[in-house]
Amino acid sequence: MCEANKLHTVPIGEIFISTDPADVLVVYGLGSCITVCLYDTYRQIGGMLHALLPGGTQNGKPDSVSHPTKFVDRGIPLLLEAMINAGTKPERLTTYLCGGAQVIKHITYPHTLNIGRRNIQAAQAALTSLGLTINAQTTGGEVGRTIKFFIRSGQVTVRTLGLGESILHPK
Amino acid sequence: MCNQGKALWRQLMCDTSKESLLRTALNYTRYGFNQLIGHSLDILRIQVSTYSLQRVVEYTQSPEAETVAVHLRIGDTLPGQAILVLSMPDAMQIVNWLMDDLPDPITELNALASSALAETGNVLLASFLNALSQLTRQSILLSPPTVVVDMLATILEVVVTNAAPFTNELTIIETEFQHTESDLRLRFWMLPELIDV
Repeated sequence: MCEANKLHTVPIGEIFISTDPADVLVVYGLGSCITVCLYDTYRQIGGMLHALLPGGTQNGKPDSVSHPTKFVDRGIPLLLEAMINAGTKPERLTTYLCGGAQVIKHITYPHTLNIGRRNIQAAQAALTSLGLTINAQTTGGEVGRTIKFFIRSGQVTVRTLGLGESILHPK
Repeated sequence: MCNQGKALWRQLMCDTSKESLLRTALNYTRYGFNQLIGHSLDILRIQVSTYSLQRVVEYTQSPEAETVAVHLRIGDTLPGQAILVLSMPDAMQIVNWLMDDLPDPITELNALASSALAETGNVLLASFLNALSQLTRQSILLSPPTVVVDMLATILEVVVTNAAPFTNELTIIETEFQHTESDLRLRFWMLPELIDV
């Protein structure tokens, strides 16, 4: 008999790695942020990054003051490293990319101009540079998404207001 | 941020007493609502909370609740964000109070309702900030209002994204208003940009 699911909210700017099949990693109301989910079917290891801003550099150098995993370009390599430390191999991974919506339409701050699209581009570039192929994605648009990542199955579900919940099928 | 701005934010965050500058300015918000809608509001509570960006998700007890927010950026001597937050049923109630000469009540957030809410948010937030500006004799600028309808967690993420490049912490000055004759509630968030306070 299956153990009851254990829900873990992954906070903004955090990585969560799980080897417990009962775990469900969740991000509620993902807007312009992105989540990257990596899953090893063979070992049932899953990891999720919830990043907020595209780049963690200031004047071309890494921003050493801020929390590195709040940035897409610095968080993705750290997610992969944490997955490898947990016992997986990059070639076994299924990769999901979610988020990057433009929730607020007018420009209130220069740094939030096209922030969703820039987060997606930063994630695609970081994943490519690490040799990871995106197997499924739900990105862009103008509304928030709740993402659930089931460690038992590797399944990722997406819920938006008014559209209900759907499964993100990997290619 | 200039020293005047720092001092004013500190004053707003540290003094929520009955005679405080914050409450005095919030009374102008109540007055603005009464003038626009013809209904009265009471101040239920004022709360100042600081969260790390990682823990801010704890602020939402119903992260997927459908929520309407009117968002403004505040500039000049008081840099930050001001947001009016409502549940969808309460937002619709306000729209219908405003449009009381329409034959049928508005039940969905169409362009007319969205415009009415933007105006409501603008009047309430501007009443507060204009009062604050006059009371302190400091210049406070506002951006145009934006109406956002989404999950509460998504709206919170918008304000976190705006603040994130400046800080790893988020301070929220929250005031909850309640309609005098019903359960309708409005939440008013102010978020200072406390870059180096």
